[in-house]
Amino acid sequence: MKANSTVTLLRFDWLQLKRSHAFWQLTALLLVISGYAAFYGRTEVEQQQQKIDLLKHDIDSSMRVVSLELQKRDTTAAWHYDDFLFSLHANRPDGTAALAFGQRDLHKFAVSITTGTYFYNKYATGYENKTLSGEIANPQKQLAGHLDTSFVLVFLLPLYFILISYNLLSSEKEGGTLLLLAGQAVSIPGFMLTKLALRWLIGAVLGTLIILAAATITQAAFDYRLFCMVLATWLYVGCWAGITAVVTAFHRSSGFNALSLVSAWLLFCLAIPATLTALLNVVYPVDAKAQLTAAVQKANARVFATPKPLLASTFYQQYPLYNNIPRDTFPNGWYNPRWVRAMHLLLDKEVKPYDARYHAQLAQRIRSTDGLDYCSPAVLAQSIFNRTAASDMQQMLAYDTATYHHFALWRDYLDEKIFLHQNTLTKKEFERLPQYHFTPVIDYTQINRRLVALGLVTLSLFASSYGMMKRPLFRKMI
Amino acid sequence: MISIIVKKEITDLMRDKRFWIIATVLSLLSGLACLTAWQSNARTNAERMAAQQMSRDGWLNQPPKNPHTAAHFGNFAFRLKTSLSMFDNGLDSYTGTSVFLEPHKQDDFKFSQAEDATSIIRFGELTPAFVLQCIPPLLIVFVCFNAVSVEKENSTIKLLLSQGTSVPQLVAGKIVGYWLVVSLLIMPVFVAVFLMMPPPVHATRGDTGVRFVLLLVNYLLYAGIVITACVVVSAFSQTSRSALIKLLGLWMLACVVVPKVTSNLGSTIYQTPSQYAYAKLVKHDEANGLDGHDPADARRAVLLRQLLTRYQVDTVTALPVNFDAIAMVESERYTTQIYRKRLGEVRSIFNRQNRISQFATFLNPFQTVQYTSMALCGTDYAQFTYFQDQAERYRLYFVNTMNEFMATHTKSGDWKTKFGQEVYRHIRPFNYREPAAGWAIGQQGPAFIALMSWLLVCFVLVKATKRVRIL
Repeated sequence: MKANSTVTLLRFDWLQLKRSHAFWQLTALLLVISGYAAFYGRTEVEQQQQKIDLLKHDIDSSMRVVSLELQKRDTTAAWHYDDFLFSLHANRPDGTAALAFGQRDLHKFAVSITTGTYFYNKYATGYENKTLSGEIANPQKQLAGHLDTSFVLVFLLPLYFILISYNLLSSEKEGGTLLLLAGQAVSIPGFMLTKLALRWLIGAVLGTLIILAAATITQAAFDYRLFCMVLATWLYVGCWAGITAVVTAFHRSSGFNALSLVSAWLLFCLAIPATLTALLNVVYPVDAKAQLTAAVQKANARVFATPKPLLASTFYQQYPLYNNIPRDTFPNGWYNPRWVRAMHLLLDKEVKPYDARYHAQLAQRIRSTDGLDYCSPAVLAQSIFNRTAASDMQQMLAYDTATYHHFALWRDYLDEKIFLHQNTLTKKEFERLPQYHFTPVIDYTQINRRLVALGLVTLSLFASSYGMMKRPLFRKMI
Repeated sequence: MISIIVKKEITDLMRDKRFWIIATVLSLLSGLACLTAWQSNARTNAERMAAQQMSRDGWLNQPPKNPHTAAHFGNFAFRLKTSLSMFDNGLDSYTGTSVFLEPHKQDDFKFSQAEDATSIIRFGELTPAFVLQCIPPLLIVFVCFNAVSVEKENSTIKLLLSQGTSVPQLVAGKIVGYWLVVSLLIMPVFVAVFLMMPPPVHATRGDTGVRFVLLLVNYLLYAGIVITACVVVSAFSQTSRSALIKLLGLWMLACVVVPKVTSNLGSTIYQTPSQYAYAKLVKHDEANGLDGHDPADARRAVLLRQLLTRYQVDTVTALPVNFDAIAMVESERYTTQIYRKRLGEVRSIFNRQNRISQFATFLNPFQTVQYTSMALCGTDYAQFTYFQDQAERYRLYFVNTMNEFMATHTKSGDWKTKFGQEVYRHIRPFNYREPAAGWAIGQQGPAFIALMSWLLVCFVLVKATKRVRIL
């Protein structure tokens, strides 16, 4: 097909689309929903940020009190019966997270780091530190999921694409113009691909506009991450263009095409992912949870009930570094910082292997399910968006692991003062309290791999459709 | 005449290749959903029952302790899955599986299944309910979009009307015909669920059968509502193509867009407090009293005065009971009020958030069936809070039993006298009892009323087809 004819066809097709009320109505509807999605994403991010800020404000106030106290006296207690030294550990969402909120609502995002038992607070009681136990969330809302920009792009944009492209050739056939076209110096596959290219362009431009508008509304950084999202959108729309090309190549009625394409949407966007989730629950159960709860409960009871002399000898055997008082038996009950810290350390040490097992199972599950992203273009696209926005499960797990590291840093620093410096913390030491900021590390290799996969799927779909249209049977059908 | 139309539609549908393809897909997905749900349900319950038993054994096998210290060992309440959750998992993946019960405080539910899942879970979970809520409407659109419009396009409608049939009769006949066939597809799913359904693992009100039958009726009505909508749209459309596009648009809005919009709107309008803010409020109430002017020390002093007067003694040590234990019983009652108040506030926010979706059931039959189905299967928010309340009552029961035992068997200041299994055995194990079906239906009142309203709307729609223009 000559370049001139292609341009003419594109112009004519665009004119036809421009005159269609349905096209503008659909576009308007998609844009309205996209606007709401951007607003929703921004609200969710703001709400999380407000919650983090509230915790930060209270932690700062508490630390300011200590700082003022240290202005008057040079030392303070490293451990007090009521905790008063805190550090914030937050997984702060940014503007990009508003575009794909992912798993952020299912996990904690703001923890107040302090001394105490980490695992007992996290898995059982939360008595001393409720921020470790997780966030309050409405399960009904969690079930519904997010109507954020990624939802618009992964679920609604393909539907929009289907509705503007289901009758590429069938409308010509039903209108009696296909034979006329076949008589011209235009190849039918070329004609179909030109029309499809225009629709792909419309979908890709619309997707890009949606992302850019959302990024502006949510104040996301215009960086490589946003570029990845735009590229993923182009490829994803390309993928749906490929599916449309294959369906069109069957050369059936508009009704058949519409039904087949919506079925494909149902298959890729709902049926396959839902089936995978069900199979995952069967094949990779996380059964270490029950053991973990029992271990936490037993360890707490055992440590708490251990007579002080026995606890002291067990503790000093395991932590010889802190054994600087000969024949120490932890006298004076709750007000003896060494006893309290020894109990917490022993408890956490006992539970740690169970926690490690649970996390290993979880990590194994995530690793094993990584490959399942490739089962559906929708899952693949969603995975790219979530990874780019750092709101995928890996990041949640990384934050959880980092929380423990922060806690361990904090604990070791203060325990050294408690055990080896008579529970005193000087002004200088206070100023050097360990700080740890969680910064998500985005795995671009995984993202790029998925982008390439989307591109390959698109190419193979187009190749198949082109092959189908080159067959004599197709020509016969015309 | 209607019966002839019904027979004709059934015959046509049985000859339709599209119908058989979709029916096969539906059967395969339903079969897979039943199998995976059954397997997952059985494994989850076995795991949780074992963990519950482990917790109980741990409780009984504690070494001799002071009763209050023993109470601190705590008990876990694991949420077992209901028999019908095999059909509709509802909120089960998001509500947490266990709660730690201990003195002084009410803990949160932990370990939701969704926490361990990758983002793929947000696409939905394959359960028989998921299949029946999402696939049949599309199947119905596929087979019904040209139900009346094709008669118009082929001008056969004029022939039909000349036989003395009215358009509403024609529409009604087609609806009944389609409904009978679609029901034949839905029934086997319920038969499979009935055969595979595990026996109840906790006490029920003996109404699982009633719930099951209501569930079946619920889905048959849902199919009927969708069929009516499709046939009526087809009747009012001039061409089959326009009917198809309208119906696909409606399907997308009803099943994909509106449920998310309504649910998300709720959380945008009514903000959920953070865990930290909630804990801070509880701590503040504990320290200052519910009215903010009743500090803990003052409450304790008043209680002591009351006891000294009651037993007509002058000092704590002269009391025949352990004052510390009585103070703990009172403190437990007081903190329970605090938690009730604060948790009530959180629940009230959630209920306001959910109300938007609940009222959307009057606009969207997909959401109607979602809510009614979860309610009947015992997996909705109301039944989760019902479990939460029972677990909290059990916490109060075992903690106060231990405190009261300490109060009457020891004297004030005595924290050293220890008791063993003979006391621990007094505490009965935690046994959850499901609420009655009537209660569950009452909690989702708007959704069930919406279902009935939809039936009324269907009759009105069929009647309205007398205005269909035949060219």
